[in-house]
Amino acid sequence: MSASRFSRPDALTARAHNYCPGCGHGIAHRLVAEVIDELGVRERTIAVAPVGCAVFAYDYWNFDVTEAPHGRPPAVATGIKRVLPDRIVFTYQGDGDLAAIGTAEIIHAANRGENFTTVFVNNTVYGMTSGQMAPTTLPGQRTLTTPAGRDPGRDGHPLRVTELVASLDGVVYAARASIATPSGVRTARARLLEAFRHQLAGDGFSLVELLSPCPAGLGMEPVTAAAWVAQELEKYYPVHVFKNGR
Amino acid sequence: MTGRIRKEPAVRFRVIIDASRCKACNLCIVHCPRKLLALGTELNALGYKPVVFRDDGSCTGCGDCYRMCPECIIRIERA
Amino acid sequence: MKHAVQGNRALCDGAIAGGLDAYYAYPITPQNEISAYFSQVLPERGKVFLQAESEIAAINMVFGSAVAGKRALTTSSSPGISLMQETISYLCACELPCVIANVMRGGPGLGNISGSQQDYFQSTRGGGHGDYRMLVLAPAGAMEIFTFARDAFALAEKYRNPVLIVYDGYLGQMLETVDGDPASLAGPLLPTEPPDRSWVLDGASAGRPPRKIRSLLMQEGDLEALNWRLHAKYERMVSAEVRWEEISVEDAEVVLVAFGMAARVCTAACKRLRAEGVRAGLIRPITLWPFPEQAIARAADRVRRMLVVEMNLGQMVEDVRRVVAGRIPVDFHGRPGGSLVVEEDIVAAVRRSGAAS
Repeated sequence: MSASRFSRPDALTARAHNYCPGCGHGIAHRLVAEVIDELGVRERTIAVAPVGCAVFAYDYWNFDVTEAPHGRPPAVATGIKRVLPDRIVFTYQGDGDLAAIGTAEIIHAANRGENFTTVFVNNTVYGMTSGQMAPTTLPGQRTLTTPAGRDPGRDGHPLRVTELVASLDGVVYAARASIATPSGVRTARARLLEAFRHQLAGDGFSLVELLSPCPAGLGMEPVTAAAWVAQELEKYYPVHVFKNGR
Repeated sequence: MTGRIRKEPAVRFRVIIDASRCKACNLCIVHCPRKLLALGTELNALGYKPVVFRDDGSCTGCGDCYRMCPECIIRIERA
Repeated sequence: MKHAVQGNRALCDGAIAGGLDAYYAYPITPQNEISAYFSQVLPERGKVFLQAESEIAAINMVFGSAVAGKRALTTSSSPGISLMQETISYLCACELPCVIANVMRGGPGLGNISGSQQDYFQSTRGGGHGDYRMLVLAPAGAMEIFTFARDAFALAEKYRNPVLIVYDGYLGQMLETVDGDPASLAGPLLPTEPPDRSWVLDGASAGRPPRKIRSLLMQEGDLEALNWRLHAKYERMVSAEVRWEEISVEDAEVVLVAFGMAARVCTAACKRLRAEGVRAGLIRPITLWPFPEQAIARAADRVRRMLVVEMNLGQMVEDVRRVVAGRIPVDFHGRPGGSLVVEEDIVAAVRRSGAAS
């Protein structure tokens, strides 16, 4: 290649990101692009974007991307993959899209063993709409709609999505990673690669959850937000491969 | 074998940053093991002081700055 | 040789004849025959059949297959169609072709599993958000169900828009005799030009640039421009696709206006009225949208009165009254809640309205 040891992946566009400083989406988008490039499947990739901050993901990837109604990417991805089974199809969803309004769709797509991959970006808040509680918000965590901290008595406990999904027979790969530190990013990349390898092999449904900082939603500086993810979030959501193989 | 510690890296790298798109999130700065990155003094068009790379020849090209940059504006080249 | 054809089965056979690639649906009475039949024949034909976890999932699977450039269908009944409204708005905004069939039951709410025409408003006035339209076809029997299902995919692709087929539960359940195999009776497929496929998401291969499908347009003026473009498309649909049938309207003094099953009962009522010396005619809208406004307006200039007959509390009658604009009296006879309108009541209603004017 060139003299560059690290440079923007081909599958990532040159367009400036609209995300807040320190937002994990930028890292997550790049990691997906790196994996798509490594597998050489850019030209047959079709992605389904969420409603949420990453609704504009189609501006940042050099492959076909469709919008979907909120929460419905797994159903849209099912509709794509069932008619174009040789394409690489993935959904990219936040915690509201996947774990709140889209819970039925993700569980059933995973349960059916749909042969696509879901990249689940968990940053514990609803960034796009100004920082409300998410299903993954921690107990005691202050958000726009939990000013006194999340009260499990009223709002329930946080959802551990990867563990839930891993329990389903149709799932071949369910793993969590954190993009809050460089070593986390390296692990995340490896787990994303494994997930997409499973799709290429036709093994069933694969999911990678990425613990990600949302500095604006958390009300922290980017470095502090990333540290909070590494120290607090990783305590509640173990960084682990919960299932690999059926 | 002899126990001699190498002070110079075998291959040199340098970090190139697209300053126009830097949002000064500081993630690359805190994660550089050799402390070669720091906020600069010039404002870019976005209103941030972009990160500058201090090229003292000791960059090992570890890639952690690239890994943590949410804007994907870091390129690491052999020097 | 006569064939016995069930309405819901005719929908299936028509869709297959029309090149159906994928079917997604959730069970709901009175259209479960459709998924039962498709579950047997579609896999045999190498086509996609999937029972979705909900109507919301089903219409979104249709969205996905449409994005991928394939011919996708979902069917449901009134409450299930209610669930699909958000995605219908998205389908129209993203200009995705697909076919949806609503076999209307009784309502509102959970209602009953009979047949009704309760979804005229839902079909023609959105139900989903925003300024969108669907081409709405209202068959009145098994042959029309077959033909419309067959032709709907090409129509959807012609306009890059969803096409909605609506009929009541009675038509869906009825077994009718048809004078032959519907496929051979239906006539040639609609001639259409090969549709534009420059938007299909099938992978940015062979050097073509990546594409995106989306309806979020935040830049100043962009969303308004999309709306005007859709508007121009809908105007083209109004010019080219409106369909209706007229029976004995030329010399009529009273014209009935009805669609679907209600139109069949009105046809019988007209015969009886004619035999009793009342010059009755029938205008049967076949497209509920675009609505046959000119046909109604022309009749309003010539006849003395109209009677709109529906199996609801009065929905299409509002469109008829709007078009007639007070020139002649427009009365309404209807039965809501899944009840069938009957010939005797329609005849009596005509006589009552005649006595009043």
